[in-house]
Amino acid sequence: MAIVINLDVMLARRKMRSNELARLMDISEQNLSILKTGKAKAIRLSTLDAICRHLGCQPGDILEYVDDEREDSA
Amino acid sequence: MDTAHRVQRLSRILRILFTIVLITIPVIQILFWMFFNRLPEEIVTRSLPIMVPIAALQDLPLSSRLLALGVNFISTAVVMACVYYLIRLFMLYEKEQIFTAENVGCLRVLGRLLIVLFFADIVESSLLSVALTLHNPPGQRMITFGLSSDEMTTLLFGIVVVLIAWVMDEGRKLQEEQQLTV
Repeated sequence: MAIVINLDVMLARRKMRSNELARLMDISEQNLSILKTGKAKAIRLSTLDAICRHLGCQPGDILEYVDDEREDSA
Repeated sequence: MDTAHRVQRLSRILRILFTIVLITIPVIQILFWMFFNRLPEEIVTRSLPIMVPIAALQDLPLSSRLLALGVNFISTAVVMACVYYLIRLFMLYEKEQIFTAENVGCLRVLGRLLIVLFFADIVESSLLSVALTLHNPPGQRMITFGLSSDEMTTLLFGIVVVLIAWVMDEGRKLQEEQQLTV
């Protein structure tokens, strides 16, 4: 997919484990794993809000647009 | 009792019922043709989907009855497949799997089988008239073609079930999306 989730990168930068973030956000580790592995089809604004709040970052630090076609042809 | 429990409970009852039906269908077919000559006229005329005069069905030889049994198994096999897919569907409902790909697959196959049954019934009806009069001397053998409201109902049901399968597939996509929304 053209949208890449950089949650694991931000977690590493903040030296935080995903289970800790899941606990802080009050969501299941399984749901956070769906997000981390890029299997998610949609993300709620409330989830994004909680991630940014607990990791002290901007939505752009978590979500990145990568042009698949341009990347393939390069 | 909530709806999910009611679905599970009713599905279990229906699964058991249809399992009995699946076993009973071929047994009844075999018994019907085995004791065909001893059956009352009313049962014979009601059971056969063809317009063969009852006088032509007196004392059918074993070969004709076996042939008729074989022909009768065309639609019986389709009906048994329908029942099998119903059992599978109810097994999934029992496991609370409602909007899954497997579930949608069962409904889709069931709908298609009902449409196949419509054609199978027409072919079977004609072949049955041949099988039941084949032992007669030339000139008294028959072939009939017929289309009754029963077949039309089967076709209509088949189309409706295929439509429901499409709707259920949309439901499956919605559930999948909901499950993958974080």
